Amino acid sequence: MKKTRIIALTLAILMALLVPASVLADVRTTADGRTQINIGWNYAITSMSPFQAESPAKNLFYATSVFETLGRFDQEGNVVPLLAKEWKQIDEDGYRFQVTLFDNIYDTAGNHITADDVIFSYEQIQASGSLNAYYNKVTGVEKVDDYNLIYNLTSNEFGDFDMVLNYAAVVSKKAFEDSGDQMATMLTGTGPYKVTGFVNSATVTLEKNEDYWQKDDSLKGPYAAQNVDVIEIKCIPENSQQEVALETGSIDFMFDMAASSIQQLAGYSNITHAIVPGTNQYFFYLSSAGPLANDNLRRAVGYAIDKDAVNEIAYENAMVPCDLGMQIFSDYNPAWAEQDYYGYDVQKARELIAQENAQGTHIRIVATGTGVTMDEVIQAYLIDAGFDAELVTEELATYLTDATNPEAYDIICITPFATCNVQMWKIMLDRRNWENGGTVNGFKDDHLQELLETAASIEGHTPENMDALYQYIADKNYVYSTFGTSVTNMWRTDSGIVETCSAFGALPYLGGFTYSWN
Amino acid sequence: MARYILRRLFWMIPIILGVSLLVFTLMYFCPGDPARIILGQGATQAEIESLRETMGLNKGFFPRLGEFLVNTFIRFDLGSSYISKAPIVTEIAARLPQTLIIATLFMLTGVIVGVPLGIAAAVKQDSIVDRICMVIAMLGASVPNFWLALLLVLLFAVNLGWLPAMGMGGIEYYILPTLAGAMGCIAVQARQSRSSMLEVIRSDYVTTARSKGVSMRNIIFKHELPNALIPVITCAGNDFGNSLGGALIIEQIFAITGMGQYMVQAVFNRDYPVIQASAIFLAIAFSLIMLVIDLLYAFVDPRIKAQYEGKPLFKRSGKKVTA
Repeated sequence: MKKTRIIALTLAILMALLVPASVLADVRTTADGRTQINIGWNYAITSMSPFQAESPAKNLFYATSVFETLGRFDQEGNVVPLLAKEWKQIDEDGYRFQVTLFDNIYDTAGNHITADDVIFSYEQIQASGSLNAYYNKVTGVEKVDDYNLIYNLTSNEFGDFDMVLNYAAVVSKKAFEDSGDQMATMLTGTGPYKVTGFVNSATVTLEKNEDYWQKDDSLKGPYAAQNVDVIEIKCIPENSQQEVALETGSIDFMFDMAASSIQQLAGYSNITHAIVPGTNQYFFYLSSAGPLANDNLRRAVGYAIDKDAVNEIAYENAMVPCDLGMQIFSDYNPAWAEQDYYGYDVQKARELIAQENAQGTHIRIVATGTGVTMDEVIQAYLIDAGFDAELVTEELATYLTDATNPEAYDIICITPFATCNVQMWKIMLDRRNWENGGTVNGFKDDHLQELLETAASIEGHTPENMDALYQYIADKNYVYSTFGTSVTNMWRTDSGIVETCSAFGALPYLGGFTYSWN
Repeated sequence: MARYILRRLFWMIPIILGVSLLVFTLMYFCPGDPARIILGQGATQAEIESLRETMGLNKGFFPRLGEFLVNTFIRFDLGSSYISKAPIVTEIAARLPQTLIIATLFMLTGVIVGVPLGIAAAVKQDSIVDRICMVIAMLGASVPNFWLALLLVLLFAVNLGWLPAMGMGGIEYYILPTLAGAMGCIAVQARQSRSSMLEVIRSDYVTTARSKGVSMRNIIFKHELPNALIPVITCAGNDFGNSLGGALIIEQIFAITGMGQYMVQAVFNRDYPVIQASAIFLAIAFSLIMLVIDLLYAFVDPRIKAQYEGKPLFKRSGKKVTA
């Protein structure tokens, strides 16, 4: 009898332990009753420096608005005021802009932010070199008074000043110098959240900034919302551990999971997901140095690939198939979505190849990292169409070097970042950007250049000019577009998260989520 | 002995210089451009060249080498990471304690579990005990540590909820990483100690001790084990050294902030200052580990101690015989 009781007790204890932790999860509060949410971030945060290289780690502080910028993109791709109250072009040609700051900006250490701090931040950006992509058009910033500055640009093209407003952090010079390590271990910003804890590559703790300087609610976008008191962020780079963390309830929300996790966690009724479109686009550069210098063969590549199938096989339908333009950008023409942009037609591809007598032509696809699966599928389609397609994988550093050398590949996939379509096309196709005097993949096309410069100028950025440029790029197929990137976010429905919200570019505005306690 | 230690410490200097030079040269000629990685995939040529100029990457081999050597060995300035902009010393200081903890746990677990397994296998050679111990050792050597780690997480964290799945904190956070990472060390120690013990078991002095009626316990711990310890110490030292930079998989799976991930990520990002600083760190660490191993040899074996001290092994009727 005693033995039976012992066995029964042991079994009862074991059964109790086997109850999944998820059943026991509750809306989170801190010990002092403040609301808290636990977030998983898929990259290690090694430094909080606002002037470090662009990285998914640094994006956390942008997304949580720990540091703020002069302006911020809204969901329509327009820049709205943040630290800058307003800005205006002050010359006829669009090379000089005057920016006016709010006069009541204070950081979490109580430092008053003025034009001197903006200029200091600009100088730090220049010194670090890491934001050249956004700031290389700025030749200088002049102080007019404590709250007014003039930016001098080398370019007056559409979207250039928007980048300057939106992506460069502004921090107090005093706070930066006081930190002693370029704010690597403690970031003092002006935003609605402040850093109160940081363990390198492990955790970051953010708390609501009760003294947030912006008191006018009508000027606060979702990036400035403070719907939760404490945000605890855990760095979880490993995909399987991300799933485990969600299953066990040690995190409530996981940013940018692998698309395969949707299937893995499909059996959990208390875990849901959302796929948020990003602002990057997958482009295949078709090299001018090999057989794809031929117009018809480039078109054949376009018709040979079934993008829907590639999306299904390689990304479990998580990507957004698109044409040459990104629909979320303000300069997208809805008419493009109605046109046939290289719809899958393997017969047509074969005809084009036959027309050039190029059956069995050897082409080299260069791939890296997570793009290898996509490229494997594309290789199969190209072989089916009649090419002799070879897939070569490289590690990222070599891959990026080869991407600007047309001799090193026939097809390579790149995801340029931009905030409008003409900017995206300019990055790849504007010969002023490349030493070879042509496009990134080596094509020298005067007509293309003329169309680009016209559409990129502020006065020339009209729907007609954009359409002319679009049609030409599509016809020539120097660069072939497949998908817009997206981000798969997953969260527990029992965590208090009712609705998520994201920045233009898919970064989650964690303070701007709707929670059950709001 | 003090002179021996000083001599070894002195020899570390050319070793570290040599490693630094080799790593610098390899990274200089290795394809890949940190400026491109920093600026991202859509960076234009002009932006890349501008950043390369800012970072000093356009300079030649010898100017850059000279700058590196002066900064590192004269100014003792390891610089900042190209990517995070954080001082490398700060980043290493944040990671080193975790790495030391993991490496120590792996080594200790290997010794505490592996050595008794090896002793048992040797003492009970060809018996069922021997078979079981060697099967355990074989499994430890064969099972991939990342697979084992995920299985342990699934069982103990997800299904049973007994232990945390990842992260750093109290002792409970180190149990699963240690179990997963130390299996290889256990396997190596078990096999090595079995092999060493079997050699010693057949020695004349062990046979003599047995024939004198010394207890088995005393034979093993007073006669056999001390003589079999040399290879065990070597393996323990190697395990510790390898874990300093080689526990990358365990760090990745369990989200532990360690040197392994840091160094590998730096290589992928061509973060030259971090790679060079990490190489120097590893060179120093391995040199010190080898010194400690050699000193432990001296502690365990008086003959080796005499060698280090340059003393005669023994005197025989007025004639000095040295090692």
